[in-house]
Formats: sequence, C-alpha cells, structure tokens
Amino acid sequence: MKYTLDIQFFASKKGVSSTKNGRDSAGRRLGAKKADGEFASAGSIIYRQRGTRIYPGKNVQRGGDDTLFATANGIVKYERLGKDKKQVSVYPEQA
Amino acid sequence: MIRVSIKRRNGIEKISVTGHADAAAYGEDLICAGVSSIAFGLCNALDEMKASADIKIKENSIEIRTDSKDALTQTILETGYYQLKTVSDQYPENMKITEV
Repeated sequence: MKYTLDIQFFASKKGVSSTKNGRDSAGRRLGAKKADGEFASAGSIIYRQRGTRIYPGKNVQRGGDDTLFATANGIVKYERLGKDKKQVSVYPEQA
Repeated sequence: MIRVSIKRRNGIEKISVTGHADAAAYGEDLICAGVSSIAFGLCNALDEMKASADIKIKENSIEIRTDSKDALTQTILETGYYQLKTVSDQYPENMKITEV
C-alpha cells in the first residue's frame, strides 16, 4: 500500500532527546616511543607528552610540543630526577 | 493536543489531522498510535479503492480534500470521521474535532 504507517506520527518528538555531547577527538598516541635500554639514533623521538611528565636528561631535548628526542646515538635510560620526577637520557654506546 | 478539522458542504470536503497527542513520550503514546493508524488507514483506503481525494502528508499533519460527493468517497471519509470521533470522545484532553 502506498502510505506506510508511522505508529507515532502524531506523537510529540520532544520525547526524542538530542544531546550536545557525543563528540571526541582522535587519540593522540602519547607515551613512550623508545623503551629503557633500547637504542635511539640522534633525532629520534623517545617520549611524546603534554607538559613535562618526563624531563629531558643527557643527550635529550624537548621539542615545542614537549616531545623528548635524542640528540645523539645511544641507549635510552629512564631515571629518577629528584624526589618525585623522572627524566630520560641517552648514553652513547662505549666504543 | 491532536486537532481534527472537518469541513462539510453536503458531505465531507476536507479532513485535516494535525498536532501531537502528548499522551506519553515518543514511542509510548497510545493515543497517537490509535490516531496514526486511523489516519494512515484512511489514506490507504482512499488510495486503494480509487476514491476521488487529494491527500497531503507533512510532519504531524495529514490533510485530505475532495470535491466529489460520490458514495464511495463519502462513505470512506465518514468512516474515518467516526473512527476519529470514537477516539476524541474517549480522550477529549488529547484530541479535539471541530466541524466547520
């Protein structure tokens, strides 16, 4: 038949609530990109973060988005910094 | 409130059904379900039986017009009228029929 029944045709659509939520941005894949004891080449990213969860140590620098990257070839070491902070360093391999 | 307007000139010339029953939340409104079934059934009856009627369906509004006084069209329209009246007599706070 031509006219398909909408059983709630004369119902108030107010019952159908709309939400202003329901949006989210894609995950930023933050965190460690090199593990402790792993080899890192100069310029490679070691740790992605927002703010300084981990501080730059030897042969490591902080980029504009707080990303930590190696400035020399070597082995990655995560260390304590003071009482409650952490830092990451890169120690060149002994020749 | 669902508003039904019936226009008569030696028979029914127009039936319009508009509005919300507001008897319950969307999906649970029994009055709306009853009226929707009558209204859509009326449209299909007029269409299937090749009655002389012009049907317009918009959001929350069904309007049926005819210039024809033939027995078939008028019988179908009067049946629809009495079905709608059966609901409005029982649920006057959700549905109102006015004859113009």
